[in-house]
Amino acid sequence: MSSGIHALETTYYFLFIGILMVLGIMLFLCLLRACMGPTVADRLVSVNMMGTMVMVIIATLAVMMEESYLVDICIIYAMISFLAVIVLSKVIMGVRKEEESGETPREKEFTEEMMEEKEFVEEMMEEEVREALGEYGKEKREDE
Amino acid sequence: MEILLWIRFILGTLFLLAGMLLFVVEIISVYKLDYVLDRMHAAATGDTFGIGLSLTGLMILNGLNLTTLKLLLIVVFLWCSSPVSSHLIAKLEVATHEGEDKYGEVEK
Repeated sequence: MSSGIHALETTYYFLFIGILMVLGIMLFLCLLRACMGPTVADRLVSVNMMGTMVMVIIATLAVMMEESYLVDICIIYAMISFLAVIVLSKVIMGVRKEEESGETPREKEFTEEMMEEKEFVEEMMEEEVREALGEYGKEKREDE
Repeated sequence: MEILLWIRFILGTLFLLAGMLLFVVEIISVYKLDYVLDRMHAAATGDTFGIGLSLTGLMILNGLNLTTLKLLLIVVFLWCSSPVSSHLIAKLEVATHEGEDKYGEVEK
Protein backbone atom coordinates (compact mmCIF):
# COMPACT_ATOMS: atom_id res chain seq x y z
CA MET A 1 0.00 0.00 0.00
CA SER A 2 1.48 3.34 -0.98
CA SER A 3 -0.18 6.24 0.83
CA GLY A 4 2.74 8.64 1.31
CA ILE A 5 2.55 8.47 5.09
CA HIS A 6 5.36 6.46 6.59
CA ALA A 7 3.60 5.45 9.81
CA LEU A 8 0.53 4.26 7.91
CA GLU A 9 2.64 2.17 5.55
CA THR A 10 4.47 0.38 8.34
CA THR A 11 1.15 -0.27 10.13
CA TYR A 12 -0.30 -1.75 6.96
CA TYR A 13 2.77 -3.94 6.56
CA PHE A 14 2.57 -5.35 10.09
CA LEU A 15 -1.21 -5.84 9.84
CA PHE A 16 -0.88 -7.87 6.67
CA ILE A 17 2.08 -9.90 7.96
CA GLY A 18 0.14 -10.70 11.16
CA ILE A 19 -2.95 -11.76 9.24
CA LEU A 20 -0.91 -13.94 6.91
CA MET A 21 0.80 -15.63 9.87
CA VAL A 22 -2.51 -16.34 11.63
CA LEU A 23 -3.99 -17.72 8.40
CA GLY A 24 -0.93 -19.95 7.86
CA ILE A 25 -1.28 -21.44 11.34
CA MET A 26 -5.00 -22.04 10.77
CA LEU A 27 -4.24 -23.65 7.41
CA PHE A 28 -1.91 -26.08 9.17
CA LEU A 29 -4.62 -26.87 11.75
CA CYS A 30 -7.07 -27.55 8.88
CA LEU A 31 -4.59 -29.99 7.36
CA LEU A 32 -4.29 -31.73 10.74
CA ARG A 33 -8.08 -31.97 10.91
CA ALA A 34 -8.14 -33.53 7.44
CA CYS A 35 -5.63 -36.16 8.60
CA MET A 36 -7.60 -36.89 11.80
CA GLY A 37 -11.09 -37.04 10.29
CA PRO A 38 -12.60 -40.52 10.71
CA THR A 39 -14.89 -40.42 7.66
CA VAL A 40 -14.50 -39.31 4.08
CA ALA A 41 -16.99 -36.46 4.52
CA ASP A 42 -14.84 -35.05 7.34
CA ARG A 43 -11.82 -34.86 5.10
CA LEU A 44 -13.82 -33.21 2.32
CA VAL A 45 -15.17 -30.57 4.74
CA SER A 46 -11.68 -29.67 5.92
CA VAL A 47 -10.31 -29.60 2.37
CA ASN A 48 -13.10 -27.15 1.52
CA MET A 49 -12.09 -25.01 4.53
CA MET A 50 -8.47 -25.05 3.40
CA GLY A 51 -9.57 -23.79 0.00
CA THR A 52 -11.39 -20.85 1.61
CA MET A 53 -8.36 -19.91 3.71
CA VAL A 54 -5.98 -20.08 0.76
CA MET A 55 -8.36 -17.77 -1.09
CA VAL A 56 -8.19 -15.20 1.74
CA ILE A 57 -4.37 -15.51 1.76
CA ILE A 58 -4.15 -14.87 -1.99
CA ALA A 59 -6.51 -11.87 -1.76
CA THR A 60 -4.49 -10.42 1.13
CA LEU A 61 -1.29 -10.82 -0.84
CA ALA A 62 -2.92 -9.12 -3.83
CA VAL A 63 -3.84 -6.07 -1.76
CA MET A 64 -0.51 -6.05 0.08
CA MET A 65 1.72 -6.27 -3.00
CA GLU A 66 -0.67 -4.25 -5.22
CA GLU A 67 -0.63 -6.94 -7.89
CA SER A 68 -4.15 -7.11 -9.31
CA TYR A 69 -3.46 -10.29 -11.30
CA LEU A 70 -3.32 -12.24 -8.02
CA VAL A 71 -7.07 -11.63 -7.65
CA ASP A 72 -7.65 -13.42 -10.96
CA ILE A 73 -5.70 -16.36 -9.56
CA CYS A 74 -7.96 -16.21 -6.53
CA ILE A 75 -11.11 -16.45 -8.70
CA ILE A 76 -9.68 -19.43 -10.56
CA TYR A 77 -8.70 -21.06 -7.28
CA ALA A 78 -12.28 -20.67 -6.02
CA MET A 79 -13.68 -22.33 -9.14
CA ILE A 80 -11.19 -25.20 -9.06
CA SER A 81 -11.73 -25.96 -5.37
CA PHE A 82 -15.52 -25.98 -5.94
CA LEU A 83 -15.05 -28.38 -8.85
CA ALA A 84 -12.71 -30.59 -6.80
CA VAL A 85 -15.24 -31.00 -3.98
CA ILE A 86 -18.04 -31.84 -6.43
CA VAL A 87 -15.98 -34.34 -8.41
CA LEU A 88 -14.55 -36.04 -5.31
CA SER A 89 -17.95 -36.46 -3.64
CA LYS A 90 -19.54 -37.80 -6.83
CA VAL A 91 -16.70 -40.26 -7.43
CA ILE A 92 -16.71 -41.53 -3.84
CA MET A 93 -20.49 -41.97 -3.91
CA GLY A 94 -20.25 -43.93 -7.15
CA VAL A 95 -17.52 -46.19 -5.80
CA ARG A 96 -19.52 -46.83 -2.62
CA LYS A 97 -22.64 -47.75 -4.61
CA GLU A 98 -20.69 -50.22 -6.72
CA GLU A 99 -19.20 -51.81 -3.61
CA GLU A 100 -22.66 -52.15 -2.03
CA SER A 101 -24.28 -53.78 -5.05
CA GLY A 102 -21.40 -56.25 -5.33
CA GLU A 103 -21.01 -55.92 -9.06
CA THR A 104 -20.40 -52.99 -11.33
CA PRO A 105 -23.84 -51.75 -12.38
CA ARG A 106 -22.60 -50.22 -15.57
CA GLU A 107 -21.37 -53.56 -16.89
CA LYS A 108 -24.71 -55.20 -16.12
CA GLU A 109 -26.67 -52.53 -17.96
CA PHE A 110 -24.25 -52.76 -20.81
CA THR A 111 -24.67 -56.51 -21.22
CA GLU A 112 -28.47 -56.26 -21.05
CA GLU A 113 -28.46 -53.57 -23.69
CA MET A 114 -26.14 -55.65 -25.81
CA MET A 115 -28.45 -58.67 -25.61
CA GLU A 116 -31.48 -56.60 -26.55
CA GLU A 117 -29.63 -55.08 -29.45
CA LYS A 118 -28.44 -58.45 -30.63
CA GLU A 119 -31.98 -59.87 -30.65
CA PHE A 120 -33.28 -56.76 -32.44
CA VAL A 121 -30.56 -56.97 -35.11
CA GLU A 122 -31.24 -60.66 -35.66
CA GLU A 123 -34.97 -60.01 -36.12
CA MET A 124 -34.26 -57.19 -38.54
CA MET A 125 -31.92 -59.36 -40.55
CA GLU A 126 -34.47 -62.15 -40.77
CA GLU A 127 -37.13 -59.69 -41.94
CA GLU A 128 -34.83 -58.22 -44.54
CA VAL A 129 -33.91 -61.63 -45.85
CA ARG A 130 -37.58 -62.54 -46.05
CA GLU A 131 -38.49 -59.32 -47.85
CA ALA A 132 -35.60 -59.70 -50.28
CA LEU A 133 -36.61 -63.26 -51.00
CA GLY A 134 -40.20 -62.15 -51.46
CA GLU A 135 -39.26 -59.43 -53.93
CA TYR A 136 -37.06 -61.88 -55.76
CA GLY A 137 -39.94 -64.30 -55.91
CA LYS A 138 -42.29 -61.54 -57.20
CA GLU A 139 -39.84 -60.56 -59.93
CA LYS A 140 -39.52 -64.16 -60.96
CA ARG A 141 -43.27 -64.53 -61.09
CA GLU A 142 -43.63 -61.35 -63.22
CA ASP A 143 -40.98 -62.66 -65.62
CA GLU A 144 -42.90 -65.83 -66.07
CA MET B 1 -6.67 14.26 4.06
CA GLU B 2 -4.44 12.26 6.34
CA ILE B 3 -7.23 11.61 8.80
CA LEU B 4 -9.39 10.10 6.05
CA LEU B 5 -6.67 7.57 5.24
CA TRP B 6 -6.43 6.64 8.90
CA ILE B 7 -10.22 6.23 9.12
CA ARG B 8 -10.16 3.96 6.07
CA PHE B 9 -7.37 1.94 7.66
CA ILE B 10 -9.25 1.49 10.93
CA LEU B 11 -12.53 0.54 9.21
CA GLY B 12 -10.85 -2.00 6.95
CA THR B 13 -8.83 -3.44 9.82
CA LEU B 14 -11.98 -3.88 11.88
CA PHE B 15 -13.67 -5.86 9.11
CA LEU B 16 -10.52 -7.90 8.46
CA LEU B 17 -10.05 -8.73 12.13
CA ALA B 18 -13.73 -9.70 12.43
CA GLY B 19 -13.19 -12.10 9.54
CA MET B 20 -10.10 -13.54 11.23
CA LEU B 21 -12.10 -13.98 14.45
CA LEU B 22 -14.74 -15.92 12.51
CA PHE B 23 -12.05 -18.13 11.03
CA VAL B 24 -10.66 -18.83 14.51
CA VAL B 25 -14.18 -19.70 15.74
CA GLU B 26 -14.57 -21.98 12.73
CA ILE B 27 -11.33 -23.85 13.51
CA ILE B 28 -12.19 -24.22 17.20
CA SER B 29 -15.69 -25.51 16.49
CA VAL B 30 -14.40 -27.91 13.82
CA TYR B 31 -12.15 -29.43 16.47
CA LYS B 32 -14.75 -29.32 19.23
CA LEU B 33 -17.88 -30.70 17.56
CA ASP B 34 -17.87 -34.43 17.06
CA TYR B 35 -20.12 -35.27 14.14
CA VAL B 36 -19.62 -34.47 10.48
CA LEU B 37 -22.88 -32.63 9.91
CA ASP B 38 -22.27 -30.36 12.93
CA ARG B 39 -18.76 -29.66 11.74
CA MET B 40 -20.08 -28.89 8.29
CA HIS B 41 -22.30 -26.20 9.78
CA ALA B 42 -19.27 -24.49 11.33
CA ALA B 43 -17.25 -24.81 8.12
CA ALA B 44 -20.07 -23.31 6.05
CA THR B 45 -20.21 -20.33 8.44
CA GLY B 46 -16.55 -19.64 7.75
CA ASP B 47 -17.01 -20.20 4.04
CA THR B 48 -19.69 -17.54 3.63
CA PHE B 49 -19.58 -15.08 6.52
CA GLY B 50 -15.86 -15.25 7.33
CA ILE B 51 -14.64 -14.79 3.79
CA GLY B 52 -17.34 -12.16 3.21
CA LEU B 53 -16.15 -10.06 6.16
CA SER B 54 -12.43 -10.39 5.41
CA LEU B 55 -12.83 -9.63 1.71
CA THR B 56 -15.03 -6.62 2.58
CA GLY B 57 -12.17 -5.39 4.76
CA LEU B 58 -9.72 -5.87 1.91
CA MET B 59 -12.09 -4.01 -0.43
CA ILE B 60 -12.21 -1.05 1.95
CA LEU B 61 -8.42 -1.05 2.27
CA ASN B 62 -7.97 -1.29 -1.49
CA GLY B 63 -10.18 1.63 -2.48
CA LEU B 64 -12.30 1.78 -5.61
CA ASN B 65 -10.60 -0.25 -8.35
CA LEU B 66 -11.25 -3.06 -10.74
CA THR B 67 -9.61 -5.26 -8.11
CA THR B 68 -12.41 -4.37 -5.70
CA LEU B 69 -15.00 -5.59 -8.19
CA LYS B 70 -13.07 -8.83 -8.61
CA LEU B 71 -13.00 -9.32 -4.84
CA LEU B 72 -16.78 -8.77 -4.82
CA LEU B 73 -17.06 -11.39 -7.57
CA ILE B 74 -15.20 -13.90 -5.40
CA VAL B 75 -17.60 -13.28 -2.50
CA VAL B 76 -20.67 -13.68 -4.73
CA PHE B 77 -19.27 -16.82 -6.30
CA LEU B 78 -18.61 -18.35 -2.88
CA TRP B 79 -22.13 -17.47 -1.72
CA CYS B 80 -23.46 -19.44 -4.68
CA SER B 81 -21.04 -22.37 -4.60
CA SER B 82 -20.67 -23.07 -0.89
CA PRO B 83 -24.26 -24.32 -0.30
CA VAL B 84 -23.97 -26.60 -3.32
CA SER B 85 -20.78 -28.23 -2.09
CA SER B 86 -22.20 -28.49 1.45
CA HIS B 87 -25.27 -30.24 0.04
CA LEU B 88 -23.12 -32.70 -1.89
CA ILE B 89 -20.97 -33.46 1.16
CA ALA B 90 -24.10 -34.07 3.24
CA LYS B 91 -25.41 -36.43 0.57
CA LEU B 92 -22.06 -38.22 0.62
CA GLU B 93 -22.27 -38.56 4.40
CA VAL B 94 -25.80 -39.99 4.15
CA ALA B 95 -24.70 -42.47 1.49
CA THR B 96 -21.58 -43.65 3.31
CA HIS B 97 -22.92 -43.54 6.87
CA GLU B 98 -22.30 -46.81 8.66
CA GLY B 99 -25.34 -47.55 10.84
CA GLU B 100 -24.82 -47.79 14.52
CA ASP B 101 -23.30 -45.01 16.56
CA LYS B 102 -24.63 -42.74 19.27
CA TYR B 103 -26.34 -40.51 16.68
CA GLY B 104 -28.50 -43.39 15.50
CA GLU B 105 -29.13 -44.26 11.91
CA VAL B 106 -29.32 -41.62 9.22
CA GLU B 107 -32.49 -41.88 7.14
CA LYS B 108 -31.71 -42.78 3.56
